[in-house]
Amino acid sequence: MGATEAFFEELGQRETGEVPSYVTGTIRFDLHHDEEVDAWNVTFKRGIVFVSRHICGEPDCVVITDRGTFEGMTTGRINAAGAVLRNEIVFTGQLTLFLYFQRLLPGPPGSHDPRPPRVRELRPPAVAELRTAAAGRPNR
Amino acid sequence: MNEDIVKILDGNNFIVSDRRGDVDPSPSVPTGLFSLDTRFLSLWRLSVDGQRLHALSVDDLHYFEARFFLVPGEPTHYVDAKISVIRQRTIGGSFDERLTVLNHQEEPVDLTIRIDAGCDFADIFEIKDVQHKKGHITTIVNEDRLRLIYERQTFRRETVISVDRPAQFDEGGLTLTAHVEPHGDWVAEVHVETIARSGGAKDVRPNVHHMPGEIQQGMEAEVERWLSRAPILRCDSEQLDMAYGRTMVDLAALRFPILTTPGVAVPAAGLPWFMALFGRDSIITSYQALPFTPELANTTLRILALLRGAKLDDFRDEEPGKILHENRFGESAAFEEQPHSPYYGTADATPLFVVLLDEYERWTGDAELVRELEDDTRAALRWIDEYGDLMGNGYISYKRRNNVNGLENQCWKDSWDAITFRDGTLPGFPRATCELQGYAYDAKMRGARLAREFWNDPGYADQLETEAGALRRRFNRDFWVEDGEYYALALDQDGRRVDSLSSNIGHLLWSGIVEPDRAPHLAAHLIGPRMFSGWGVRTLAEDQGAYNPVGYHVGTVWPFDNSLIAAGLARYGFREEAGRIALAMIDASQYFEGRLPEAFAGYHRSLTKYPVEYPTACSPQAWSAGTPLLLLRTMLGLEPYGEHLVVEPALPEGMGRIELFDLPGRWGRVDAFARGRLREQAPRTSIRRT
Repeated sequence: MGATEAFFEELGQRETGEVPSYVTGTIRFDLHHDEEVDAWNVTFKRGIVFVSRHICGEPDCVVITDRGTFEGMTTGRINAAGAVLRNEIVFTGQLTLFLYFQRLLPGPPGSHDPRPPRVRELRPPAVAELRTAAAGRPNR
Repeated sequence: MNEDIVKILDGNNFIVSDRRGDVDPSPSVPTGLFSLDTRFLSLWRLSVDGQRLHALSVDDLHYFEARFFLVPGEPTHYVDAKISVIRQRTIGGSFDERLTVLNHQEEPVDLTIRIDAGCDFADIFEIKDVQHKKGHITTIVNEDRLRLIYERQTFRRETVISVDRPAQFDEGGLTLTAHVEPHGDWVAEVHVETIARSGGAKDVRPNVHHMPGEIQQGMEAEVERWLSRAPILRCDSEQLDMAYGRTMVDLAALRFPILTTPGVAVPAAGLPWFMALFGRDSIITSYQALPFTPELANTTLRILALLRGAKLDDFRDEEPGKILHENRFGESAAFEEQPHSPYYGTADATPLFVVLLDEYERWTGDAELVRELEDDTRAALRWIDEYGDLMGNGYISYKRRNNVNGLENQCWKDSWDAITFRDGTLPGFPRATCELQGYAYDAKMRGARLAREFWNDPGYADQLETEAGALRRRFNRDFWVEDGEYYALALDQDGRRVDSLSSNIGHLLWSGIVEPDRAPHLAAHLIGPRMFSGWGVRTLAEDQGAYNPVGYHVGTVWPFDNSLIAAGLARYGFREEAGRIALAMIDASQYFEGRLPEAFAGYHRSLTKYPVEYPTACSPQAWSAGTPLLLLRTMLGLEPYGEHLVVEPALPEGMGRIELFDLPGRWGRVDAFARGRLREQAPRTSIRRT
């Protein structure tokens, strides 16, 4: 399995909390490689991320890039905003969805928690806690 | 900035030229045509029969439009012009210039009109030294256009110059021949397009590709709409009237379109260096403008929430939940040579984001936005205690992880030498500046209200209030400088008080973290001779080691700083002191035709009969433009109370009468009136006028 497949598989199983529940829409990624195009669809609905290879209807946003660039993004080696400015990524439709998607990408390898270990122990990063809080909140 | 410079702008597009309308390369001022933080023209020079022109006059028609009246030759040789040239330019989705040549003679005349054009495609960060471009420039001469193209790998920016008449294009520009009848005129429309796409792709900007005429009409209509929606001010003070008018136009000009949502805008920070989205500047400007144009706050909150930090990234000083500092689109951001894509190196934007959201709801009643932004606001509140608390001592502090081109000081006083001990020495890192703690306290108190009233989470509200109370007690113990009777500028890495007397203490009043029995000491300092210059409160008291009246953050007077200080003084009941600051600022504004600059020198008013502008200050600057608005709010004592607007004026002596009509808010539109006298007037609730 390639890095792209692994990324999407893991993404489909993630409980996010990173994308607010009111954000709804589908992004289609057209990933070019070896004169082929792989299409992946990512749908945001009520704070949950759905991943599929096939989709009914038009996506709200289409992101076109090559597979190498995309893999760079999914491993934190390539910054998505920089790639857009370098014309390596082309998008149509709702840019907002693509910006929310960028929250799901990892930071660059080797990045640091700014706090020394002593302080970090006082308050460990509570991403899981944040996710649970978002998921477990009563509906309004 | 130099008065010989003419600037017109439309959000992310602007052109800076000399008074003839020409652009010549300059290392000190960013002259040229800019879009997306990139220079698209660095040479733009008009001549007639080989002669440069000189300006008789310049009209700033609108912020996006200027008209130059020119005649050939140098001023010294000027006798009686036989021809003249009107150069009218507009900036919008493209840059357009209409050249009109007028023949004042009885004879027809044939002229050669030449435009020299060129571009270095400099990133705004490299203006001062455009030597080492990593890409290459190609010039393509077509029959009907000149194309200047910059390419570096896949990065591509292009300038296309065309004209609506037959012209001869060459690599250095274009030449036209004009036959002008006696007392007749000749007109040519020159069109310059800036392109940031490659192949068949769409441009990354939503507002390009309009026809020139459409842009102009559309923008005129938009300015009309903006001004017609603004509350109307009637007052005795001519200075205040001028400053208010100037402010509303400058805020219109600085509206920066955002790429995600066509048709809405946030305040950009300032022309020419800061035409970009800045977390702190956009938040504070939106806060100042809330009683007048709450739409700015709405857009600012949305875009900053959308772009909030989500990961750890050392280069960008990014952490989950953090609100950005600066977002740029130039080559240096594209190739990650500068971290602005976006850069998160500021410790104040995150708590200030929460402050603005709460204040926005208090004015507008827009509960929907508070609910939409719940997750991102919780993430911001969490950042305060998590990544913001670098030292684990319960205070927000900062220390950059990007040691190459990250900011050393990640607070509003962000120059490298801004934070010093009383003796002028520099503390180590991390640094916890005092105003950050005030903002954090305010964010928690306001977050508690949002959690209780809109997020259905009273437990979280209680928790935030408890934390805020503990922070306040801790802060009043740890930051108080006994021998000076004020709060320290910061704590250093060992928890030592960085004991300078600075304007930051005024922000503490604004945030409400000050114990009431200490507030009189702060008020006395702020309007005492060490801090108050007569034109405003200095960033640093004049007897401190690092004080310099022309030091960017160590002695100058910043209008926005003064607007928050005055609001803080009023919050603690020091209305007279607040009024003195308001009056000084409004007095100062008259020397800049109503447009307060970014900063002016800290010299005493008796020394300089007018306020001396800081040398390379940006103008217009968004939070300086916003200053008269917050001062008006403070003087009139405008405060939302439930569904009503309370008006509790305390005007400084000499201010006369102030009347504001059609203040927008959750009450519909209401009016506020005040008459100048020192004593506070009885509070009253305005009459609803919907």
